Amino acid sequence: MSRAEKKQSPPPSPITSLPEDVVVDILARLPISDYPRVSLVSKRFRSLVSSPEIYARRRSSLGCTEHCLYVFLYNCATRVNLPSVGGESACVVDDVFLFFYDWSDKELRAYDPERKCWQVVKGLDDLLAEIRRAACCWLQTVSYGGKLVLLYGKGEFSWLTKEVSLEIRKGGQIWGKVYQWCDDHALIAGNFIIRKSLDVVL
Amino acid sequence: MSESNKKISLISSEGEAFEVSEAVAREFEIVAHMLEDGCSGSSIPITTVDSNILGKVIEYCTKHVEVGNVEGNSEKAEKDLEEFDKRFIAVEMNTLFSLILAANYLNVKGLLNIGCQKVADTIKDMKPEEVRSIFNIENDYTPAEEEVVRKENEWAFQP
Repeated sequence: MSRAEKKQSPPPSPITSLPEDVVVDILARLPISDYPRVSLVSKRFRSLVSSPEIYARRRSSLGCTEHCLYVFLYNCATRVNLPSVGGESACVVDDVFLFFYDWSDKELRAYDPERKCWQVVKGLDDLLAEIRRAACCWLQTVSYGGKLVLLYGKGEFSWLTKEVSLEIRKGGQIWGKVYQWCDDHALIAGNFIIRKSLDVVL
Repeated sequence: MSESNKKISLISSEGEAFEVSEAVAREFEIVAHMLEDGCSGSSIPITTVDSNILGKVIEYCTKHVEVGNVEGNSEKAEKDLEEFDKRFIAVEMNTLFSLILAANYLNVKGLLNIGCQKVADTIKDMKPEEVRSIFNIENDYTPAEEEVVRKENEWAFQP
């Protein structure tokens, strides 16, 4: 192989001549949480990261999809009633276990369909103590990528979220482990209630 | 992969000839298609790629063909190849973009893949102004427009 390191005057920056297809390929590899920042780069970048192409095809063909939790909020600023607790705040994880927060015993409970019984989720003492301390007035369980997410209201309607991974131990006991989320504090402060939450793979 | 002793010359934009084996040349899908379409010439002009970048792309393809030809010990070979890719793509931005452009034009999928991933890893977590400077993009938002986009995504900019 002959090879020379001849220098020549550089052509116009290769960066500006990247085909759109390649730019989309690069952006599709970024985590979704980077997209708001990328939107600020330029109008073109903003339109690229909001295009159906990047979500519908590119991210999945590159294997770069991730779970995103979307929460549909209802602004109840003009109302004073609190969201109901109970059935609505329960969720199913992994198509198997049903979870809900038992307000009377202040425990997180799971229904094990194999054993046909309810049991208390273990390993969450610190989290439950925190919830009690915070005098939460609402709590919702949400299924998110095979994990359980607790959204709960603290004080003046600011929110906390906690992601809990689940493990079934010997004897069928269900144990939870809390991951601290970096955006742990007050997602949104205001008089909102959760109408619906959805785990989406993007 | 069938070994062929046939040599092919790839001609850079400056007219410099790079003699490679047919197996290496076929790593350029664009060349593979030409050969399948009956292009029997032994020299193929790559007019949009300069010598420096063409040399690098050939280096990448040669390594991948070599490793692909070795049978057995696949785990170690895979690891070595990964290491090679990592070192190979650790270049300054202008070269990186030139490599991506060439890989895209010549249709060398593996190289395009590691190139795009390298850029993505570089701009991840960067501020918008830093991304602009990397891509050499001008900010075409008016301050008012920028404020609107920032407001839309306010939650994402909280510390």
